Amino acid sequence: MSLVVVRALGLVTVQDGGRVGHMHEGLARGGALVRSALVAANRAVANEDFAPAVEVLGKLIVRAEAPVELATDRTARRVHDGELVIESEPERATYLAIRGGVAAPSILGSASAHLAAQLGHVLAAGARIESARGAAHAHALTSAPAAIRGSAIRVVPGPDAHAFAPDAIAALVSAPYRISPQSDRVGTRLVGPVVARSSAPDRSRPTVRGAIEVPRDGQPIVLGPEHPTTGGYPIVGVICAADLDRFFAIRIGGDACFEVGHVATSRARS
Amino acid sequence: MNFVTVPLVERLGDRALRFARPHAAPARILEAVKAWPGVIDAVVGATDIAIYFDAEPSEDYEARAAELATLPSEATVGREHQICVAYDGEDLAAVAAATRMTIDEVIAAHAAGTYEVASIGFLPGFAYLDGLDPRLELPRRETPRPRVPAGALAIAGTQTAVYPFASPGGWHLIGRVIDGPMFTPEHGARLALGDRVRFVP
Repeated sequence: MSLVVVRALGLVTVQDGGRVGHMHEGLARGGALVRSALVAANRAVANEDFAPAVEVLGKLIVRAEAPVELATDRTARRVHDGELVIESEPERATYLAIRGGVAAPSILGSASAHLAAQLGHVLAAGARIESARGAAHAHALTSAPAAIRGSAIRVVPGPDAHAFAPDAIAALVSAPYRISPQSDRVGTRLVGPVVARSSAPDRSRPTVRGAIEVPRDGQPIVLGPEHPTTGGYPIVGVICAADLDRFFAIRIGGDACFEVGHVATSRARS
Repeated sequence: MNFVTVPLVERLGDRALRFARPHAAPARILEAVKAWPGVIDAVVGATDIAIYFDAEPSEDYEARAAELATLPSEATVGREHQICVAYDGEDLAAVAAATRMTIDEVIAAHAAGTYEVASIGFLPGFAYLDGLDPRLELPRRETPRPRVPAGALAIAGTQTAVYPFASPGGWHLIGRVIDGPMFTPEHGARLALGDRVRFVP
């Protein structure tokens, strides 16, 4: 049971939940850009939540060579033969799961491609997508929690307030930012109101997924799953963990609105 | 009087905390913070430490962070590495000119050093090594290169490092590692915090 890649546009890789516990050696967690969408696709074919699946940032055309049970985070179906088109639009990412999980070698505890570390590779025309025949999950066919769409992305301010002008956070929440086509799994570049820096020099400090770094030009970069573990640009705020998927799901060219998230509130919700 | 300075622990979002790095051996710090409740990983940076959680941190960790200052500053049982290099980097002549040394003197000064891994970051397996001969201290290049090849041996400021992967980079290239990769899928990073390194021409 396998699929053959006919054509891949954009970035198409195998992703799972990522590698935990290697930040200290310079390797970020990696894994799916939109974790809840990976879970939704896997649940639709009764896989474990973070089984390896194909992450499509763009468009993927596959041909089924034998009957295969597959699903994306939007639809589930059984395909006997013929071609299938999977497009991430109208969001930034979509996931193709096949029953049993996508077969890919586990490296440092994960099947996720992490291109900055040359782990795994990009799926291109001719690549085969096989089932790993992993165990079915006991809680099959329950849907993943739906993301709340449309509302603002909450941000915990700081920690580098000294490196910014006093109105930096006000600027960040003042108007929507456009998601730049220069975005990738390392960073999502934003175009919008300038977040003004102070004269404090750049200083290399530890980072985290969802951190909003600001280079000298004032146009923010949100760190994605393959981010460097330290970075020289100051961090004006960090997207709340509960809102990361909603942010990374916004398509290239779409708009993101930020608001100040209250940590006590997000604690109460978790 | 003895004061124990309480470091300010800052929020790095709602799944990480950051605080100033105390004057203790980095490998001891890493070992200590990874044993704290709830901590799933840590980054020991040049001046700061971040600790990571998979849920909202349940305490502020200020008292624990303060205790780190009492750890010894001597390195523990860091491994010793001899890394074989060819001193043929693109910037060797420029480094010699900027430091008013000959190319042979630059090579001799760099190869004479015993270095220690002070922090790891930027790229998987990128180890910032302390112990550079002060005569070799130079600011970073005015314009970073869009692509530095994997294995490049470089210097900048008070440190030296090897680029584990091809990437953009602003350090001065003085050579390349010839005896294997700095990061492998099987074993991860070749160098760990606190390890000691000698470069062998």
